[in-house]
Formats: sequence, C-alpha cells, structure tokens
Amino acid sequence: MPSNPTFLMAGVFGLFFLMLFLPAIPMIQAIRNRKDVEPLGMDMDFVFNPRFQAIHFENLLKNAARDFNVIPLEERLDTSMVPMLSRKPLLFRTKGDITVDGTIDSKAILDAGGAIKFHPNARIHALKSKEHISIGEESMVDLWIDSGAEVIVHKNARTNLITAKTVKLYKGSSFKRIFAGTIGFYPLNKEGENKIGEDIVHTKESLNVEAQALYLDKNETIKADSSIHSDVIGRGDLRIEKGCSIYGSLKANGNLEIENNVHIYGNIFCDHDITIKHHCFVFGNIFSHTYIRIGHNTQIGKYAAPKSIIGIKGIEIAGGTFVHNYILTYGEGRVV
Amino acid sequence: MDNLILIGQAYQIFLLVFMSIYMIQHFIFTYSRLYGEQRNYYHDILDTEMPTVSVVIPMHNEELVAENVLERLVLSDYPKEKMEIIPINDHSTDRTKDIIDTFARKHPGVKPFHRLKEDEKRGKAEGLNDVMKFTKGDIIVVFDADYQPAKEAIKSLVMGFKDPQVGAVMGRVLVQNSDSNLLTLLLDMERSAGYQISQQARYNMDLIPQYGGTVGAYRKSVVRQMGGFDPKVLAEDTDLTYKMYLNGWKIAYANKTECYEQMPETWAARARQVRRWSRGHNEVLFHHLPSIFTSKYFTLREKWDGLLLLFVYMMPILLMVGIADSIFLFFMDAISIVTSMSALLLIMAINAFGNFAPFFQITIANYLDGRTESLKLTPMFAFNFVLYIFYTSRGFIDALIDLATRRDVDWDKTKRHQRKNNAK
Amino acid sequence: MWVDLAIFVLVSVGSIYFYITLIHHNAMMMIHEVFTASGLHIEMIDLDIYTFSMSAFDISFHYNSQITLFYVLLLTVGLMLFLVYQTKIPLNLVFWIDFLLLLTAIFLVYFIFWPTYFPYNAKKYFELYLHAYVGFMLMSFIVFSFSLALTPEKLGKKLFILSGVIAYYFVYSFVRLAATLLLVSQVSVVFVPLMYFTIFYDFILIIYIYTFVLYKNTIKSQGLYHG
Repeated sequence: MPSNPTFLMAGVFGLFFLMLFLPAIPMIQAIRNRKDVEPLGMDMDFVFNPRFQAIHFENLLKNAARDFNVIPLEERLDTSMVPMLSRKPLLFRTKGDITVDGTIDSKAILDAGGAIKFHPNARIHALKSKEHISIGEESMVDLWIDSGAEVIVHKNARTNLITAKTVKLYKGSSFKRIFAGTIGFYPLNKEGENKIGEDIVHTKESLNVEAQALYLDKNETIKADSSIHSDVIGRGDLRIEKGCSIYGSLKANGNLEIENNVHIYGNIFCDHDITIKHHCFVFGNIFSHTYIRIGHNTQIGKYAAPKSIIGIKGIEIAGGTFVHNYILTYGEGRVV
Repeated sequence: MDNLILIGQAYQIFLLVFMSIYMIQHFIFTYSRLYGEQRNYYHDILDTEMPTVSVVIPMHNEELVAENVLERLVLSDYPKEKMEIIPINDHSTDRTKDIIDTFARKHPGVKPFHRLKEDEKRGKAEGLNDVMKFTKGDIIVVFDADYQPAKEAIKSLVMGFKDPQVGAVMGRVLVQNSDSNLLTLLLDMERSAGYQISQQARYNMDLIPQYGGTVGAYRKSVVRQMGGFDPKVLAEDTDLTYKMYLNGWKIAYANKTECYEQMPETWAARARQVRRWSRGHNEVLFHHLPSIFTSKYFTLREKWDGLLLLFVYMMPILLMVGIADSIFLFFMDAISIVTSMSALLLIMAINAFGNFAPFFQITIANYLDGRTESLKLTPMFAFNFVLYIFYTSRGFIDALIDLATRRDVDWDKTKRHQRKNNAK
Repeated sequence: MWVDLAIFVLVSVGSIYFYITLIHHNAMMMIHEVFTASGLHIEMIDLDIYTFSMSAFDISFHYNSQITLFYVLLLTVGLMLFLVYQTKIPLNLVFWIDFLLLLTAIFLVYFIFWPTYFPYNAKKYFELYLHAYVGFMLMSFIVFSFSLALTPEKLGKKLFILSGVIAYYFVYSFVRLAATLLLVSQVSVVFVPLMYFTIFYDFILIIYIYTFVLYKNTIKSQGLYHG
C-alpha cells in the first residue's frame, strides 16, 4: 500500500487512465491494422433476369465431369440407381426420354435430352430438359425445373423455380417462381387470349396526385360497371365492383378487392392483400407486399410482353387463369 | 436572475425530451431493420414496357470523373431507344466539355447540354430546370458525376414509377473510396447507417424515405408542375422530398439499387459538406414547416417523421445552447434538479447527433453490410461530434441569413479524386 | 428480444440499487483506508442521493493563485490556437480537444475573476457528482441494454457481457471518484467543474465494448445477416 500522497496520486491517475483506455485497444488495433476497408462489394454487371437460374444451371452442367458424379441412364431413373456412397453430388444424364420414380438423392440433378416424366410421389433436386417435363401427382422438385418446351405440374406436386416456354399447373400444386411465355392453371381456358391493349404509364399532367388520379381518401368502393380513364389511388381499402373498366393503374394502401369481370388496363399495386375474383383481365403487373388471390378464368398480361405477378408473402391462383410471363413469391404459391 | 435560471432549467428538460424522441426513433428504426417486416422495392418486377427516360448528370469541372460515369451509363441494360443520357456541362472551365463532346460522338444516345452563357447562373437546380424544358423522358434519373451505377440501376429505379402513387425513387449510395483513409471509411460506415437502416426502416414503416438528389429519379411532369427546382434552395433534394409528400406523392426506396460515390478525403472538405447540407436542410425547414401541419396528404406518422426529419439539422445548435446553458446552471448552483438528466442528455448528444445516428445503428448497419474489423471503429464517431456540431450550427446560421436576405446560394462542390473502377 | 431487454433492464436497475446501498459504501471505506495509509486524512460524510444515503469525503478544494491560473489559461489558449493552425492532427480531433480546452479555459476565467462566488463545497459538489454519476451509469446501462437486446446473440452470453460491463463501470467509477478527490483537493479547484462535465465522455466505454461484442459476433456468423 502506498504511504505517500505522490505515490497515491500516481497510482490512482495511472489506474484511471488505464481503465479509460483499456477498452479502446480493439479500436486502436482496427485503426492500425486497416483491414476490412475496401468499398462494399457490388455486382456492377448484375442484370435482373429470371432466367438467371436457368443460365446458371447451364453453366453448372458445363463442368459436369469435374463437379458431379455423372451417371449415364437409359429410360428410367429410380431409387435403386442411386449409389450408396458418393462424395460429389449426383448428375443423371440421358439423351432420350426418361421416367423418374421414387425419392432420388436430395442433391441429385437430372439432365435429359428428351422428355421427362415423373411417376407420382417421386422427388429430385433439379431437372433440365429441352423437351416436355411432366411432374407427377404429389411429387416434388426441390430447386429448379428448366425446360425448353412445356412443363406440366400435376395435382399436389411441389415445385420451386420453373423456367420454360409454357407452364401448366394442376390444382393443389405449389410454386415459388415461374418464368414462362404463358402460365396456365387447370382447367385451362383456351379462350379470350387478348392481344390488344397497352400498359398505361400515364404522363402526369398535374401538380398533385389528386388532380391526375381518382384519389380516394378513405375506404371506398367503385360502383359496378364504372369506366374510369385515370389511375385510381386509394389511401384505405379499395373495392372495385363487377363489370368496371379502369384505363389506368390501381394503387391501394389498404386491401384491394376486385370483383368479377373487371378489366384493368394498367398495373395494380397494393400495400396489403389483393383479391381478384373471376373472369377479370389485367394488362399490367400485379404487386402486393402481402398476398395475392386470383380467381378462375382471369388473364394477366399479354403474350410477348412480360408482366409480373408478385405477392411477397404468397399467391393463390385458381384454374382457368392465364399469366404472361412471370410469377414470384417469397412465400408459397398455390393453385386452388 | 431567478427567471433566467428557470428558463435554463426548462430548456434542459425540453432538450432532453426532444433528444429522447430521436433516440427512441433510431432504436425503432434499427429494430425494424433487424427484426421487423421488410418492405420490398419493385426490383423483382419483370416488364418490357418501360417509360422514356432521361438520365441527367450535372457536371461542373468534372474532367477527372466525367468519362467514368458516362462509360457506366452507356452499359446500362435499359432499352436504348427509350433512354437518353444528358451530361450537363455547367460552366466548366476545365476539359469537361471536350470529354463529353468526344464521348457523345462515339455514343449516339449521349446528348451533351452545355450551359456556358455568362448571364446563366451556375447551379444544380438551374441545370436540372433547363434540362427539363427539352428532355424527351417522362422520368428523369439523376446521377452526380462521381457516381458509378451498376448495369441495372436505371431500370430498377424506373420500375418504381409503375406504381401510380410514386413520385420519386431513391437508390442506395455506397462509398467508392472507403479505403482512401480513415475519414472515408468512417463516412462509408455513416452512409451505411443512413441507407441500410434509416432509409429502409422509413420505407418499411411507411414514413418518409428521402430523395437524395442522386441515384434517384422523379416524374418530370410533376416536378415541372411544381415549378421546377428552387434555385434559392441549396438542398434541392430534400426540398423535392417534401414537395412530393405535400402533393400526395410517395417516395420509394430501392435498397438494392446500389451506386458508388466518392466521399471527401479531408476533414476540411467534409466540414464544408456538412455545413452545406445543414444550410440546405434548414432552408427547407423554414420553407415547409407550416405546410406539413396543414397538408391533408401527410398521414399522422408521416407528419411526425417529416417534422423530426426537418429538425435534424437544427438539433446541433440547440445542443450547443444546451451545453452553454448547463455550464451557466452549474455556476449558478441550479443544475441539481436536472443533474442526472443532463448526464442523460449528454449521452444522447454524443450518440444521436455526433454523427446523425446512434452508435448501435452504425454498428448494426455495418454488421448487416458484412463489415467486420471496421465495426471496432464506431467509437471514433464520438470524436467527430464537436466538428459536426460546430459546422451544422454554422449551416443553420447560414440558412437563417438566407431566409432573412433571400440571397443567392452558391453551388459548392466536393473535390473529386481520380480512381480506378473498382467494380467487382 | 423484448424478454432479453426486460431482463437486461432489471439487471441494470438491480445493480444500481446494490451499488447505492452496498457496494459504494464499501468502496468508499476502502478508498478511505488507502488515503489514510498514504498520509491523507479525510473525513467521511453521508450524502442524500436519490433518497438513499451514500458516503463521500469532506475535503477542501485547492484554490490556486490567480497568477498561476492565468498562466495556465495562456497555455490553454495557446494550445488551442496551435491545434487550429497545425496540420498534423486531423480536424475532428482538433475540434474535440479544443472543445475540452475551451471548457477548461471558461472554468479558468471563472476562477481567475470570481473565485469567491463559487457556490460549491465538498458536500454540495459530491452530492451533485454522485447524482450525476449514478444517473449516468443507470442511463448508460439502459442504453447498453437496448443495444445489446438488438444484437443477435445468445441471452446467456449477452447477460454475461452486461454483467462484465456493469462490474467494469463500478470499479471505474470508484477510481474516477478517487482521481477527482485527489485532483480537486491536491491540484486545483478548476477540476471541480471539469470532472463533472466530462462524466458523459465515459459513455464511450460502452461503445468500445458494444462494438467489440458485435465484431466478435461477425466473425462467428459472417454473411448470415448480409443483405
């Protein structure tokens, strides 16, 4: 113990500064070392393209021999063909048509030159073919399906990403992201594929939003058979009754409900749920921050001019509906 | 004297309440970004029918960076037939004119606009106003000359206008020269806090994400109807933010639409920048404060956030007064009733306003951005506190003089540094 | 997260309660012992802090001669000017140090011209100081609790960190009090306001520790929260 005020002062002040600066050591180290100082990485060449997965798929298979355990096949793939031990992921390859049966290894990919047909209850990681792919009832493809032609997803089958020319889905099937020229939902409605119309992005001619759009401050309903030639913006819930035609885009800050036989020649944006009932027709994109429900025999987008349906939390689509070209959800997409 | 003491004590309590509100707001923002529901921007929409776009790059003596930004812009994936690129040469006295003219000869989509007449006033607002008179685009996208946009940046920004309620869109800014020195790294970290947390949280919670004047876009017709940009307002971006909301439009924030920018590399330049921002921001405060209360388009929460956002550059001067006040109270032996409170006040001061974001917001933003070693530098922000407080206060005084005299504002610009393209 | 927060706030408040009622008194006894052993004989006094009784010391402030203070003032102002005109130290630090020097200069001017008006004695000063420090610690712990609750880390580990920080602060608070005692009684009365107004600087300890905790977390979960 110090017996002199000078020692005492030296001790106390020493301890004081030590305790004040001790926790600063990591900071001082970081200043001296100067690690982790590079600008945050950013992909300057990234271009949003839903076919990215398919392109990535192509690239992945280019070096198949290096990255995969490649197993040649004839006409059939079933569980007995899966090797017991494999260090690398499996890649089954065939030049012709093939059928898949049973649960294949969870990392297995099937690359076929011809058509692929799933038996019910089969399961695989990913599929690729230039021809027709048919996913059997209750089957499951974990990651992606890429086809140069048509993909048919049967009842209660579960899929993730599909890129194809056309995709048709049966009731009970599920998806997360589909990119195809036409996306149909069984029972298919072959009529009324509309090739007219345009996506209206209005030139805004007025100062405030109210003067250029039908601006609805509270929860409102647009009466049946109305025809509106402007955008419609609802600050609350918005309901469009049957038979209306809206030549502009729709935006609702609450929920949006669109009844039967409504035609919308613009985009639909909504902060909450969008419910579109039956026999409707939407030329533009549909975007909801939550859920989208689309009734039967509705048509979204037009052929060769891709439009998107994006329901961040989930999408439900009923039979007879057609979509051009893109559906995406981060939740679950279901055919009802 | 007793009355003076009473006022001094009341002021401390007022300041404490005011600052606590900011602190709580930033806590809620950070919470929203970490655990709340994230609101997606419209990047995921795939649509080939796009509106016409004019990409405008205001330039004044930008010979070091002019070519870089134009090179990045011509690589854009936006449909060429629907896009024009307009570099505005605003009274440059260096090689900027030659550089953009040479570039335009090689690339037909680039249409330089020279503002060289002596009777024209130099300034970003004037340049943007002039350009709006002849551009073909329905949407104007603005980049500053030191920016490095990615290929899909324009498309991603413009996609937001499919939403009929959106009047302007703002992207995210990343600092390109974070590795130059400690200052630029700290500014990069500060930027992260502002964009990764404040802007995104404001977008999540339906508050007021700010249009930042660059990596942003707006509807030309709407801004023209508003009478264009006010050349007397230095912060044309903040001004536009409030004008949009006052007229019922919303601003969408695209967190994933990133773009590199250069930050000042000396403290003196940074101090000038802070002073300029503060001046511009406070001018907007004086312009728009009353109308926020009366506007029918602002929701209650937008009003609340709008007011807090407006007052943010006024806080430092209030704080300076608060410090002087506490010294006065100390020597008057009258601080005791607010003594523990003033300790709290000072904690808040160092956190919330030393760097416009509390320490946890900065650390977590950079944590989200994947920074590691640099997180340990967050305490350094505490040492910037006095510099910021001083220069923002000076900016506030500038704005007061602007208000009183309606004098013209000068377009000061941050010094550029030539850098290699560090795209990854 | 909210459960974590509630626990942290409870721990913070509880620890401050123990600090006031138990820990502080024992520490003061120890300081008293050390000071006495070093030849500094000071009386212990009881103070009323937030309705609790806490101990401190009865000392007399060391008033320097006006001429000494004047020389120090000249030195301080000189240093301030030197910092402004030099180019080596970055501007942010210059402002930071100058701010501290400015505070010192203001206090020096006060004690040169109006030392007789200085309204504090040891009892009054330590009452103020302890009110401020206890309030400051409580607020620091609560702010730290909020930021810790946000951090994606296991509850047990966070609780351990909080306890560590509290313990460190407690020890530090005694060292700081001892340093203050020595400064105001042995060196100069100018440290009376200075040691009071610099209390808030200590919050930086929390920031040092918090950022280090998060840094450790990034090493473990790199990329997990990216985007």
